[in-house]
Amino acid sequence: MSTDQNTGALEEFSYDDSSVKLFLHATIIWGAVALLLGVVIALQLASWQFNFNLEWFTFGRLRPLHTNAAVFAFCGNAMFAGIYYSTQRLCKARLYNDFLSRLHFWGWQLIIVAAAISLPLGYSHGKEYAELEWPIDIGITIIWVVFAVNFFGTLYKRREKHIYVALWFYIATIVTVAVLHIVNSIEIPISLMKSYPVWAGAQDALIQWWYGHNAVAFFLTTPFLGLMYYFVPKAINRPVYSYRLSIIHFWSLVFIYIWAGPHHLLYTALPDWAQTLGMCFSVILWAPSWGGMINGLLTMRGAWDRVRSEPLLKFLATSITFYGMSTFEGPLMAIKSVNALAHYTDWVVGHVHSGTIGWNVMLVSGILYYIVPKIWKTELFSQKLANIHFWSTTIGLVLYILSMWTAGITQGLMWREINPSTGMLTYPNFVETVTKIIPMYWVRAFGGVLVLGGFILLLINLYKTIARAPKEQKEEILRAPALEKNSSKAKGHRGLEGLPAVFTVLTVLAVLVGSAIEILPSILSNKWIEKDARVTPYTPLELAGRDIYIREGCYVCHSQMIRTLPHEVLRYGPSSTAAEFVYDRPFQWGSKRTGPDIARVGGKYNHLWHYRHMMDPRVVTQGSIMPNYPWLFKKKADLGILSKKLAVLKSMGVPYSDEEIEKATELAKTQADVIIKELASDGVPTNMKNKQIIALIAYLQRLGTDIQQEIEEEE
Amino acid sequence: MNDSNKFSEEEKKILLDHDYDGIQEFDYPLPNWWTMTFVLTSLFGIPYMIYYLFLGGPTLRQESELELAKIKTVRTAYAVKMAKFDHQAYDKVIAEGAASKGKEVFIENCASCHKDGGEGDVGPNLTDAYWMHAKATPETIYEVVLNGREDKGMPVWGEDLTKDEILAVVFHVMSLTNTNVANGKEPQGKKVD
Repeated sequence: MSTDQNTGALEEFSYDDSSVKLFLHATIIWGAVALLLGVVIALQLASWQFNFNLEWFTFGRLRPLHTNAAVFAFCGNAMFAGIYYSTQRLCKARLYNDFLSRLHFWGWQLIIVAAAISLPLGYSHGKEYAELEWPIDIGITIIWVVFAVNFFGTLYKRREKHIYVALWFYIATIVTVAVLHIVNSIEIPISLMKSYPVWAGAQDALIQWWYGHNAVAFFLTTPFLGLMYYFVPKAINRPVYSYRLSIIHFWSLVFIYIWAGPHHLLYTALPDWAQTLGMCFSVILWAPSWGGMINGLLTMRGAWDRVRSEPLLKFLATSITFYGMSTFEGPLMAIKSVNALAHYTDWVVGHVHSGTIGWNVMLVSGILYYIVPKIWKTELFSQKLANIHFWSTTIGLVLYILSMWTAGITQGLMWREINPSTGMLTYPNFVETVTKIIPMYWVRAFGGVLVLGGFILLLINLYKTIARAPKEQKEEILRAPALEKNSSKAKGHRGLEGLPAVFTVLTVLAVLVGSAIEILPSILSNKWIEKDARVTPYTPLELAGRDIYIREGCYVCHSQMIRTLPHEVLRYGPSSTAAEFVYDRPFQWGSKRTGPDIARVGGKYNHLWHYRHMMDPRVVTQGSIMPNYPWLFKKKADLGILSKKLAVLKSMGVPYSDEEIEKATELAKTQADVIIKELASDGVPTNMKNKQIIALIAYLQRLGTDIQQEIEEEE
Repeated sequence: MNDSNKFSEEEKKILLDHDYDGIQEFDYPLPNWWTMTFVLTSLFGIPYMIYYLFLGGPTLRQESELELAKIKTVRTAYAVKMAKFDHQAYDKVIAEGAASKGKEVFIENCASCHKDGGEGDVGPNLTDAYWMHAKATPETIYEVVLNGREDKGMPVWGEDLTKDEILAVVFHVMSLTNTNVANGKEPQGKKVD
């Protein structure tokens, strides 16, 4: 069709489908692992016994493993398989370099294995979806560059003048993820598996959620929109609905998405203006997101009869529908007053999974059912199994979403209810609001089992398919005319589609505008947040305790951020201010309250309470679903490394004196002795010297106390 | 894919000459409702930003403080009502069966620190004759429960429990004194006879 520029001599080439096959295997296997982990942690929330008192198996460590497996292992491999399969065909060119393709594959699997080992061991940054420690961060950067070189090299070698919309989305993915990952992961190493981020407190929160939200945007959305643009028209055999809609929704999506991050921080101590930007751009993002949904669904127009009968098309159509649903729900939840109810609750968890299961898992399942038989040159083993998989996933997901809506809204309403005649909270006991929603946690776990079960059927189905493929898998020789340089006379956007380098530069600019406006003030201006002289750095022992807090993943269930909402002030104390977090590296504001906020837990209970609570939370809080942490009472805290930690923090501007740095270990021991003495007077055995629990208690007792003292004096 | 017979006349008019691995593209106009959605969300979002960023719209903190002030008025009035030990109400609660209600409230709220039988753990033993803050009278126990002793880890129960609940639990605590249950925590505070 578009042959006006392809007048060169015919060239022979073939596609590197063996690399695609490797990524397909990885997608199927990691997909099953990620979903299995999801079921495990869902059960842990329904019943704390599923934590088994095992250090490496507790929710706080497995939840990051689940998210990393789902996002980077499953969706990552799926994205690479789909991008490599479609890019070669859209460019009529073999992948740029066979070695790079293999390096990309094995490098990425190595990163996943490193994550699977290090996260259960507690090596974590304590920043969501960016938990992996610095050596792995560097590995990710290197492999991502390998991917980029391989991809752009393929574009360079292409025999098709114009780049198709799928490729636009791939370009946006590659450049933006690189920027996000690098900026959010700037950190100073302490040891081989420990580092502190250069960003602190509210600034770290802003950058983390700029990253976190756009990981959703540019790791889970744009690459999969690109895949949709390739696989939906291929599978349905119909032209894409609207080229001009592609252009408008692509550019508006990449430009607007990047601004939306602060909607994860509404009512927090983040400066108000950034919150307002985050909310408004999220609302405006609704239409650009739905542009993709329209182009996907309306491409299927005229072939609905086939959607009803072919499981692969059911998956594609349903995934696009869920994409539409969650991209409507997202802007809704980003509205401040809605967010006030939804934030920190399971509603957010339900929303995320309607995106990840509804959109990503469903779409990838459809693509796998399309691509596996095609690439292995055979037929799908069983349409019937695929059909059962579809219904199992759909029912499981609907149960998931409904249970999380119910749980989230119920809990959100209980948290905020105030008795009008007394001005007091109706449900002052947090645990009451937890036990209320446990039945919903069981429903969610059951939904998860259905999704997992469906995916196991996919695994069986596809391996049976591969097993019956012809043994000889030769690469087909293809012919296409070489691309003549400077042959296009097209103008406007069509002209731009012939200039991938310019296209890439414009995409980078589109994402940098919003990023710069939101983030640069926090870096350039020292007036970005109000300072508070009462706030002082953590003592060495508190710092050791804080690193244990991070290691155990406490932030996945406890927030440290009292929002500017009256019911939060009544429940937890004065709203948090940005000044209180200037020494927090990383920030630990959290995003979910499975347990209560602990920003001001310091001094609320005595040491013995914390001691008992960490040993068995149910001793002091009936109905608590928190795991036990018996190992904290056996293992010693590493106090020897504290001097180094303090020195690194000082290099980033934390005002520790040279004496403090030098005597850090001694100072920690002295502070620990005071705590041990008080515990001993309450009857706790005295062999608690240097135990991790003591450091953790020191940290917990410090939380929020800097400004609390003064406020009490004022009154 | 290139079978042009499968397209209607209308479709043929908007079918572009794009072909990528067999994928073609129509060029349907943007759906009106989609364009309107984009326009309306922008019409909401942009003036909203202008108001709150540049025209002095209140911050969330200011809005929260206004609301809090109203709640605090209610709470202060209620606190005044609560502060004084109400002998009449106490007698009434006893008459209505404070023994079982008091135990219920105690198990739910107090037992986490004082243990089910009041023998003490995180908090002091309530079954001996020693007292840290109260003096073995309903009035003094009421005050400690109501206002808490936050420096010692005793919460301000006046913020969580109703007046009747506190009175019932006071009655229950009174019933525990000098029962000297087994395995009690060692005495704390001063002896009160």
